[in-house]
Amino acid sequence: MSRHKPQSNVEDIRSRLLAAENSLKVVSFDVFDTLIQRSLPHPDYSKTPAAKALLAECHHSNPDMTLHAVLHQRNLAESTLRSQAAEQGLDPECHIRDVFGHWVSALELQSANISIEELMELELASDQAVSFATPGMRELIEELSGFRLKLVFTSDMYYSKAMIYRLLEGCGYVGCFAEGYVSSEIKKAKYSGELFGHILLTEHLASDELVHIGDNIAADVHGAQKCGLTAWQFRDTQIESNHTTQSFLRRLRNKNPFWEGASWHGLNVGSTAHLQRAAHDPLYRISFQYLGPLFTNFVHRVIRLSIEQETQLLLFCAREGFLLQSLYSLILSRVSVTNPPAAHYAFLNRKSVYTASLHSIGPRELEMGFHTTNPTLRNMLVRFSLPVDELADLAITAGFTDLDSQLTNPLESAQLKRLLAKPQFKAIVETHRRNSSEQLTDYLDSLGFWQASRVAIVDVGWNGTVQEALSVAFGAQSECPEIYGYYMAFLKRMSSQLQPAFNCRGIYHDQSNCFSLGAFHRFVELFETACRAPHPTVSGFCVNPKGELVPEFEDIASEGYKQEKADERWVATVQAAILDYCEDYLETLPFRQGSPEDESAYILYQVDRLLRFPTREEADLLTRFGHSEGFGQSLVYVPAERDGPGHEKSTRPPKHHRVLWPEAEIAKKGIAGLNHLFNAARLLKTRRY
Amino acid sequence: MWQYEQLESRLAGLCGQKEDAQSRYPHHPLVNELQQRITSASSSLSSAASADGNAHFSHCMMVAFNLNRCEAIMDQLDAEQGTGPVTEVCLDRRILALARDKVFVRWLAAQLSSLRGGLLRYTCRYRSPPLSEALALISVQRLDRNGWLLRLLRKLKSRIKGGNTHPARDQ
Repeated sequence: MSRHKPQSNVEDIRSRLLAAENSLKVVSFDVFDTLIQRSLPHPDYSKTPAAKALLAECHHSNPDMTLHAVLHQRNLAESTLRSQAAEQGLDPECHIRDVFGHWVSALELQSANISIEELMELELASDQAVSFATPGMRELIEELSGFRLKLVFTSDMYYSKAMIYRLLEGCGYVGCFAEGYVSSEIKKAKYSGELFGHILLTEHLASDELVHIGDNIAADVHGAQKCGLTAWQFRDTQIESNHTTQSFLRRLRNKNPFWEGASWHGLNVGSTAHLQRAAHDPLYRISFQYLGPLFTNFVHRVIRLSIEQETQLLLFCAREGFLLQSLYSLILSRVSVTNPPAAHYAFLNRKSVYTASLHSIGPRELEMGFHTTNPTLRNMLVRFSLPVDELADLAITAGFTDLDSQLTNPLESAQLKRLLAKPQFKAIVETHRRNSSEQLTDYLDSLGFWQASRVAIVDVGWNGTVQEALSVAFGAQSECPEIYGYYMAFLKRMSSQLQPAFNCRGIYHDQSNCFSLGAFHRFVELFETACRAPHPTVSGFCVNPKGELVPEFEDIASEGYKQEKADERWVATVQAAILDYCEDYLETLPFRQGSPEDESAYILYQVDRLLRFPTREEADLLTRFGHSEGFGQSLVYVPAERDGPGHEKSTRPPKHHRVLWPEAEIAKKGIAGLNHLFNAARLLKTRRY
Repeated sequence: MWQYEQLESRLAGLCGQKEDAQSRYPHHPLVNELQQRITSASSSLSSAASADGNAHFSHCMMVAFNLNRCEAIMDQLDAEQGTGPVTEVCLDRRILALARDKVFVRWLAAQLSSLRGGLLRYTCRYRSPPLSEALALISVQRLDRNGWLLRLLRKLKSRIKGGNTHPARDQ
């Protein structure tokens, strides 16, 4: 066999081995990056879980100790051991047990609750969780197992042979290798050629009876050639491309922490099953790639914030709370948190809480009632769950001719002022407020609201109306807890509401603090839809035949709900992708060295790209949704029946018929650069990117 | 109880569709997900039956979500069958049935003899077992680098769909 150094992928290796089968006795395989791959930006991240465990121990005696300091101590311990081996004339290799022994000593722990063996076990188990067989390699090894060749693995690694066997078995290489040679035990390395010499001696082989296959040109190819062996460099275009990207990102990350998020995001950290699903389903792929990181990061930050602020109860409001609470439960099932707040999905929305806050109808209430695309008296009454039919006669006596006429300036409307001043109107409102307040009190009691001292409303956004209405309805009561609000974005579109005392926090965008991390607030409907629960809008509460207080839903025959039903499958696809991403995120969480806050900037940058410069495919897929309150181009508008004189149907689109995501419509035209022009024009017009 | 009975009947319907999908696309990743979602929906439905109040609704929502995703998967599978790329799942029972036909096998052997590279080696390795088994073992993604097998299978598929029992009889 010639001593050339071919660069081969799995198929080439298969062909070469089949051709050389008769002249070979033993085939040696490198382990890391040849037999197995790891879903980590860099192999050094595999040291993080053990470092985190030791950091927790260090915090008992030294609360200021950081993760990076602990990791630095490990690197020092490894360097010391390697130097000692070199001084003895050996290859500078060390065993994980010795490394951990030196490491723990260097940290000067007063009383360690974790043993060296447990730390070793932790590192191996973590490594197993992110390791997988190189595509095609397991099939090749299984095929070779049927031949008369002896297969061995060879590795320059601080793990023991037994640990590498376990790692390989975890990746599906069960009973494939007759022997293993590991530098940490033999104290000889591949790159010096000593380890290969050891194999030849141990196996009683001539140099042409052994071939070694590995990815590293220095250790696997040049090292083997020092002993006269034939070595083939394993090269896979996709794997090499990932490595190149990651090493580039690593250099960037050292200069700017923004790229920490990119390292994890660009890695395709998804499990094989999830990535296969993404390959078959483009909507799933887009949601997995962009919305998954966004929502997972948001909920993880909410958990950290609620612990920091000692919140005792989190209420995930209908209907967006469905996905958020699912993510919350998923994250808490895998992340160890001391005393996490209790959490419930709560059937609280504007309709179910507004009425209870109607102590009077003043400017606040009018703004809430008329803050809609179609500000009519009917819509205001419906918003407050007031009886439209009962109040219609009173409205006519106050001067209204039509409940569906738009009131452009409600505060100045003479008819409205007359209606609000009527004692009968006030009496009806007060009766409804009292009933609603009683029902809401009971419902909140079932959630443990009154037992908590601090409660937070969690929602995607946007104006904190539920939180504000709860505060107005119950804030004066002594037993009412402090009510906080954690929102993805707090837009504060209504002027009279939400003074700073309401404790709102927009995590990615906060209008009240002029704080913004991106453009995603420009198309909030996408995020609302992505979180939506599979039930109709809540309109209030009622008592069921069993005597239980249960939510009452909007009529399922309504046009809006029919449209939502049509979208349900796509919404479920989006949500499945987000939850799958979260699972993958949790797999890699023990290895991440930064906080969720560190990753937000890059995640929002990605979402920003999606919203400002969508591809045609993204635009087509994400504007499929036909939300009843307006969504992209597929805005659903059902004109009210206006028969009779003076009610001619207009052929012009209604005022509120607007495109919510113009960038998508531009992308659909397929003209390159048009979206860049649009964004530039928008920047010049609004003077804000 | 919100939609409980409706969810129950939807789940039963999807279980039947799942069986069909499993037999048609045994190794499809979306079919694996389908199985997981149905198991999850079934478990949530049982929990919903024994829960009251808020917990009952929460379980029902999880059932509805999983069923909606199952329906989306069925849509996706149907779309793939109609217009998507031909993969190994297309070597289904109908093609294998054709492969057992001697006339068809001769026709296919003539087609295969003109092929190069990986497939020739592959078919040689599986010369001893019947060709139908060899066909079943062929992984389209692994061998079809130039797209010829894809085109061949598309042609076969369109002929099967067009009503011809096998292409050899056209000649």
